[in-house]
Parts: sequence; structure tokens; C-alpha cells
Amino acid sequence: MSRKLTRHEKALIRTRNKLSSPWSSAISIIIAVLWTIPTVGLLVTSFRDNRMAISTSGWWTSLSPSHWKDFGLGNYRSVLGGGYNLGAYFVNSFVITIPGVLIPITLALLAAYAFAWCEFPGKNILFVAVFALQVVPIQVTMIPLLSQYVKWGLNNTFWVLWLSHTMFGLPLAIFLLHNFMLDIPKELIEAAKVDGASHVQIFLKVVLPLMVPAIASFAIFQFLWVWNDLLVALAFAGNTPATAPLTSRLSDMVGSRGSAWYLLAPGAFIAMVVPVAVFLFLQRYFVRGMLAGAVKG
Amino acid sequence: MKGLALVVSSATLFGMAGCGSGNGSGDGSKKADSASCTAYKKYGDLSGKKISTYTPWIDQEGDATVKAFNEFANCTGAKVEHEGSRDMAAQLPVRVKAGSAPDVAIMPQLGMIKNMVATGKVKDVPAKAAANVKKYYSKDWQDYSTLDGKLVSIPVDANAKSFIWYSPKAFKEKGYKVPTTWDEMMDLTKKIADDNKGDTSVKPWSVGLEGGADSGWPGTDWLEDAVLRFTDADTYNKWVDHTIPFNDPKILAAFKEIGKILKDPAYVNGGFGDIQSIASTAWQDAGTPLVDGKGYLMHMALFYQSNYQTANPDIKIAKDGDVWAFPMPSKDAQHKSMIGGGDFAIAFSDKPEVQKFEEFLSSPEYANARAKAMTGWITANTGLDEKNLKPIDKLAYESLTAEGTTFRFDASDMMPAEVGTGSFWKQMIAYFAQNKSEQQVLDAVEESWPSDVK
Amino acid sequence: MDFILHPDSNLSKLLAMLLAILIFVGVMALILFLTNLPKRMPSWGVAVMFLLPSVALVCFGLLYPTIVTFRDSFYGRDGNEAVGFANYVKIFSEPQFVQVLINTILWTVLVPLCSTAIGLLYAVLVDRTRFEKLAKSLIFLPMAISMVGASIIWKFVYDQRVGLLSAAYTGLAHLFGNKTVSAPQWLMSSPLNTFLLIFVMIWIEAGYAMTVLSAAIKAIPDDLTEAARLDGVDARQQFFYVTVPMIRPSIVVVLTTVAMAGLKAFDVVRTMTAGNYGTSVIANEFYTQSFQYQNTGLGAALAVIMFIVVIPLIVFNVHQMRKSQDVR
Repeated sequence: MSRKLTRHEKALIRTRNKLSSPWSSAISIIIAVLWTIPTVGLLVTSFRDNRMAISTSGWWTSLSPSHWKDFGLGNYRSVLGGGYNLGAYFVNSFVITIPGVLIPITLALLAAYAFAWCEFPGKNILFVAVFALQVVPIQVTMIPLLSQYVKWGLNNTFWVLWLSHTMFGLPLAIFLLHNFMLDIPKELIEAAKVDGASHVQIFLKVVLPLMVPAIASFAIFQFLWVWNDLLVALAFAGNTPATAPLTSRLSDMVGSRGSAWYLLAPGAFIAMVVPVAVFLFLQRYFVRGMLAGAVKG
Repeated sequence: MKGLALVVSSATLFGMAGCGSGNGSGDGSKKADSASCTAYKKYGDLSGKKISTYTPWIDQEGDATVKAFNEFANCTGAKVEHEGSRDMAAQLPVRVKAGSAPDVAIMPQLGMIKNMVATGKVKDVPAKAAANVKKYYSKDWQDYSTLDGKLVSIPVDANAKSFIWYSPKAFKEKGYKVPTTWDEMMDLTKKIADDNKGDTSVKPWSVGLEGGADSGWPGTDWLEDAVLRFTDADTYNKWVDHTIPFNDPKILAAFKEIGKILKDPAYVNGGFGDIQSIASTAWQDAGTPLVDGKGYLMHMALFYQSNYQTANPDIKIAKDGDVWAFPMPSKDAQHKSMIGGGDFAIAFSDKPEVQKFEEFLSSPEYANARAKAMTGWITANTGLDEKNLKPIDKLAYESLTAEGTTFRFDASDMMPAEVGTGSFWKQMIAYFAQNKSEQQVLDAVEESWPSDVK
Repeated sequence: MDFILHPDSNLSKLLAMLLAILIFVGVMALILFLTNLPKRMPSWGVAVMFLLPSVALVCFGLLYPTIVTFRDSFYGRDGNEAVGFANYVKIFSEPQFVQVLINTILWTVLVPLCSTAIGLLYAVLVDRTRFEKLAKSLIFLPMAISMVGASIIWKFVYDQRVGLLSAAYTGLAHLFGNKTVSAPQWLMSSPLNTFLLIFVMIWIEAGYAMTVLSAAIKAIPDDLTEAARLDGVDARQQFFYVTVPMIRPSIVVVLTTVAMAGLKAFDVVRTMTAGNYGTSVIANEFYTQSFQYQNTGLGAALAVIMFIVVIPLIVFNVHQMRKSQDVR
């Protein structure tokens, strides 16, 4: 077992890190700025009330004090009022996303456990097959799957969206969770077996608690993919307020208002609010690390 | 964070249940028995029946469509569901193949209707609707709805594309006159260019081809107009159905005529930059320079009026106003040529209520209801009451129904999808983006013409 | 009971969702209960119970459509007439499609390499600094934005007139004394435009790479780093001889998943250039051929080529798996 560092030693490492790396600070700041600027541009644009200016001058020109009068909430008012009815689509996105995250992760945990800790013939081949199916583009599945859904009378319902997101999310979920599960020390599992625990008990009592950070981390990715999905919703449940998610609405706005950047910019930001909030909320779980550092070493 | 999420979710729970997307349904339950329903008596009572429709219309266009459908719904008691999607053209074949076709689909591409009919799932136009089409539409329009001698679709609206937008105000100020022949138009172009030699940002023509996944179509309208004006109507037909190759010398000659405008740096691209900027300018933006005084002429269908209104609700669209349009002139003032398009309805169901709905779509009632619902809409239905049209729409309507005008359907909507929504669009973009020559553009489209479809 | 299938109010939608979750929880409980029932359940029995739902779903949702696609790729445009390898011949012989293949390979190689490199570098640099949380959030932000949103954002960078890139370009040109230069139409300048689009994808995926790799770095035992430091190893050496080997499995995972994402790239291309100006990739071309042009056969052949492109990736992963199994 590893010796815990004293607080003094940790502080020492931290200072040394800082001292040794004026360059590293510079590089990380450059990357951070480069990565943030495009989004800042959109943010600034979304508050520019001067609609003409958006398509004739760069967004940064309105940052100079003489142009501050351009700023206002008019664009947000146009999007939130103005009959675009984003609210109903917000609810749809929620309703689609929550089971669309919960179900594949739960199923994948079981499957990953089987791949990691059970012995059975053909295990490796089956795992590689599941892994390889990640590459199947969703577009390929549209006609075969929709035909089945129609036969079952389930097309245009949330049920097929939950089912589809589960099926499309599974290969990656199994692949990633399996990798994290392998990092759990074999000794822990063996010890539990010696104590007479069954596989179900080991799964529930030993593996699951250790997987919490990994689950949280994968959950946020799956959340983002489902929340930001457009194609699955469009193909299987149609573009009506009954089931369509927020992305459908946003994409319609791009289409019909091709150049109405004053609507698109705030629209894009409103769609971002939930994913960013979820990230900030779940971030605490993976600061400690996906790989459940506690069990290592 | 939590507090915020709560506020959002409670607001969405209770506050917003309406529908502003243009998707939705007419509710038959509040059946109206007012005098306005007399024309609908013939459909009988359709309470409890449901009709699903699928169109490419969203937002205001979608809302207006729902409004027009609702007249039928409210008077007959049927429930008419409308789904509009920008990706309709790609999604409809998926649904048809998967067996979840809507009862009625409406679309502009005749080429696609041909594909749909080939699947064998499209139902015949019912007798009463067919009688309406015969009664209210000209021979040309009946022909567009006909495939191998059989009526397969119902025209539901139309648009007139061979128009040139200008600002009457600016023309008056500068003393420019609306040209009536092609030569006059070229002279005017030269005059505007000469008048603005000092200011490189001002050019006679403003052109924009960009439109996301649909980029390039305004370019095809330019070429189609040239073909109709510099060859003849018969050649146009042969060009469309590929009895002459896409790169026929006659087509090339016509193309070069518009090239004299589109490829002259002195003539384009007012308000946006160089020739290449034509490819990157959104077509929705292309009309702004006319209002700003950076451009004077824009070739664009009349439905562009709604773009002007969105940008500035107070804009005056009139013969003496801020913007107006004139028909693109031909070689001489006597010949008038008009390219237009339209949307057509096909049915995947032959339930009685669907057949009645088709009858409604082909009737003057629908035309008038839709015209009243939102301006910027016309139809070739001669039963339309012109009272319901704004001046600019009247201009379009007359150009479609006038005697002595050679009317031709938008070629790109009739060619196979590979060409009409593919290489033709893409090559018109390449004409500007990669500065391809007219010959190269035509050759590339010809090469892409699929050998396995006619 | 119609609300279960077609909920018509926000409240009933949420109820339907809760019901679905309850049903799912019930099924899961049943599976666990049944697995635990026999006194001595053999290992393979547990595997069957645990894998059955996932494998059944994957077979239905992914394997079955894949098989249909393989079959269609040898048929004509409406799927009725067998044409042998004609679709494949067309793809490999027409310059337009060859361009698509080249672009796809660029996407599949550059996106994972660059986003992993940047994500890793950044994760190491901000590790244990005071602003770690904020710094990570900034890089993660693009992940949270939908592809549609991302394309709107990048419009304001790549636009020739009002884009940031144009401003930076002309600004630099002025600095070096060239006052007359004007920025090119970025998204139309082939082959540069493909790289500009790839950069958008890197911008999105770097956040994913950073998050996963940062977690892996944090799992490296402290005493290992400590020991290295006491041996007088400098930061660069520590990175290459301690950090990278320790998190190697995670790097492989990230490279693999991001490569898959790059291979399947569709939204970025579709929304930004629609595949024009020589920027198309297989996923976009597949959509165009299958749905826009109704050419099922050609579309299917394009999809099959995606599977072929992924084979080296699978081989690489199997190799890595063997390696780490030997270690265990």
C-alpha cells in the first residue's frame, strides 16, 4: 500500500511544479484562450442588438466602449418570446435524455462485469464484436429499425427513442466501463469470492461502489450525446412538438432563418445551459478520477 | 445551479404548452357551424377521423399551413395533423420504405414524386380531386402532376422565380429605368457600374448562393432563365429530360450570356466583395445591399419578400416603395418567359377522409384560406380570389396565369435528384468558388447524370 | 392509458418517463434476482444473464442493420438487382469519391492524434494548479455544445467578412507591411478547408480526451511520481517515462473512441459546408447517396467501406488488450 504524502511534501511538489514551468503556464493559457474564444464570440454576438452589425462587422468591434450601446437582451427576448416555444422542446429533451442515459449505463455495467470477471467460451471474440459495432453509423440503421418500430406500432413515441439511444450507446459504454473495471485489483474480487460472495453480491457490493467515478464520468458523456442528438430523434420520432428535442428546434431555426444570427446565437446558448450545468455538477466526481484511484497501488 | 434548474423546469411544466413551430394539428372537436363552412358541407361529417400530413414547411410557413388546414378541420370535424421538417426530402423515403408514410405528403421536387410513385405506395388521385385539378389548373400545371399519362399529384402552390428585385426609391433617385429587354438590362448594368467606379463596395448586382445543405439553388435559377431566354422552350424541355446532353453547345452559349454579368468583377458582388463571395453569401442575405445602396439588382423568386419583412417589418414593398421586382426581361419586349416552381401533394392512403382532404387541397377554398393565412404565397389555382393577394403576390400570380407568357417549371426540380439537388447545385457553387469555366461546369454536371435513371 | 405511448402534456410526458424507468428497474431487479437464485451458478451462467440484454439489443439495433447493409452494397439503386462489385468499383474509380476516401482517412487519423495530444498536454499542465477546475471547464465547454451550435460558433471564426480568422490573417499581413491583402474564402479553399473542419472536431473532442486522461493521471500513485522526482528526473522526462507509460491503457481507449468519432463525422461537415468544396467525408456522402439521391446500393457500399477503415483500429486494440492481459 502506498505511503500517503505529508501535506508538506505535497506543497513542495506543487511549488516545484509551478517554479519549473513558466512555459507550461504559457502553453496552457494559450490553449485555454484558443479553445474559449470562439464561444466568447458567440456569447458576445448573442447580446448584440444591432442586427445589421452582426453580419457586417466582427463581434469584437462591439467590445470597444463606443459600441457598447449595441448590447441588450433583445435577441434573447425574440427567441424566448416570439412564438418559438422552446419550453415544450426543453421538456422533450429531458424526457428523452434521462432514460437514454440511465438504461444503457446500467446494462453496460452488467455486460462489462461479465466481460471482466466471468469466464466463458468465446469471450474475447464477443467483446471484439461488440467493440467493433461502435463504428456502425446511425444512418445505416434508420430504415431497418424504423420498419420494425412501425410493425410494433411504436414509431413516433419516446419509447423507441429510449430504445434506440440505449442500443447506440451500448458498445461504447461496454467498451469504456470494461476498461475501467479491469483496473479494479483482482485480489479484491478473489477475496470476496473466498468469503462466499456470489457474482451478484460482488457486483453490487464490491464493484459498483468502486465504479461510481467512472459511472459519473461516462454518464456525462452519454448525457451530452443524447442531449445533443438530432438524427435519432428526427428519424424515429419525427419533428413534432410531441417528441422533438431542443436540437430539432435549433436546427429548424438554422434552416428557415439561415442568416438570422441574432436568433441563432441566443438559441445556441440556451441549448447549452443544461449540459454545462450537468457538467459543473458532475465534475466533482471525476476530479478524483475515473479510474477510482483509491484502489490503485 | 439547482435553483436555476428548478425554475426552468417549473416554467416549462406549466407555462408553455402552445405550439409555435408550425407543427401541430387542427382540433376537430370545436366544430364550427358558421356560414363560412357552407363550402365544406359536401365533405360531410368527418368527426373522429384523422389525417396526417408531412411537408417541408416550418415556422411561419408551417403555422400558415396549419391555419389553412384548420378550416377543413373545424368545418368537417376531422383532425388534421401537420408535421413540417427541413429534412423532409431525406426523411420521407425512409418513412415510406419503413411503412410509416404519412397520409398526405407535399413537396416541390417532381423528381422525387416520380421516385415515390415508383415505390407503388402512392394512391391514385381520387376522381373529385382530379376533376378540381382539371377545372382550376392550366394544361401546363396538369402536365406537371401527370406521370405516364396518369394524374399522380395535386398542385397546391406555386412560385414565380424569374424576377429581379430592385429599389424603386434608389432607381428614382439615380434616374434608372426598369429594363424591358435583355440589352436594356445589360446597359443599365454598365451604367450603374460606371456611376459607382469610385466606390469598389458598390456593384450593380448582388448575388448569394449559400444556403447550408441546399447551397447553390439560386445559381440554377440563373442558368434556367438564361436557357429559356437564349434557346427556346423546346430546347429547355429536351435539356430537362436529357434528350440533349446537359452540356449541349446551345446551353453553353446561354450560360455564357449570364457569365457576362456573374463573372465580371465590375458587376458583382454588390455589398459582399469579389466574385468568389457569391458562393459564400447566404441567399437570405443577398437582398440587403439593395436597401443599403450597395447593390441595385438581385435575381430572386418573389417569395424573397418575407426575408425583407423579417429583417425590417416596416419595409415598404411597393412599386414606389423601398423594394419591388420586375420580371427578368427576354431578348425582346414581346416575349415573356417565366420559370416557376410549385409544391405537389401525393397521398399514401385512400381512406375516404384522406380523399376528401385531397379534394379540399385542390379546391379554391384551400387556395383562399392559405392566401389569407400568410402573404408571400400564391398558387396556380385559377379559383383563387385575387382580393386575397397583396400587390407583390398579385404580380407573381399574374405572371403565372397571364396569356402569352412562356412558362416553364424549374428544371432542377425535374431532373434526377443526383443532378437536381446534387451536382447542379454543387457545380454552380464551384463556378464561383473554384472559378470553373462554363464549359467545365456543364461537363461536370453531364458526367454526374446517373446512367441507371432516365 | 394512451399517455404511455402518446403523452400530450408536459406532466404526462414526465410520468411516462418515470414509468419507463420503473419498468426498467423492475427488469434489472428480476435479472439480478434470477442470477442469484441457484445455489452455485456457474461463471458462464452469470455471463449469460448479464450479457443477454445488451447482446440482444446490440444484435437487433446494430448487427442486423449492418448485415442488411452488406447485402445492399452488392445490389443496385433500389436493392432489387444484384450488381456484384459495381458500387465499389464506382467508389474507387471516380475522383469525386476518391477525394471522399482521402478526407475520411485524414479525419480518422488527425482528429484522434491531435485531440489526444492536446488533451493530454493540457491535462498534465493544469494538473494540481490553482485554477485546475476552471481551466478544465473551459476546455470541456465545446463538448457541451451541440454540433448545430458548434457550426454556428465557427461560422463567426471562418466567415470571410466578419470572421475572427480573417481579422487575424489581415492583421498579421498588415504587421508585415502587406496592407492590401484580403482574407481568402476559408471554407472554399481546398484542401485547407478540410483541415479547418477537422480543427472544429478536434476542438470538440479535446475536452473528452482531457477529461479521461486527467482522471487517469490522478490515479497514478503519488509515491511513483515522488520517487521519480527524488531521482532527479525533470518534468519532460517524467512525462515520457512515468506519466505516459502509466496511463497508456487510457490513451489507447481515448485514441480509439475519438478515431471512431472522427470516422463517423457527419454533423460538422453537413452543417458547415454540406460536403461542398471538396470537404465531403464517407458519413456525409452515405447520407447524400442513400437518402437524397435514393441510391441505396452505393450508399450501402460507402457504409461498408467505413467498416473496412476501422479494421486496423480493431487489430490495434486487440493487440493492446493481449498486451495488458499478459501484464495482469
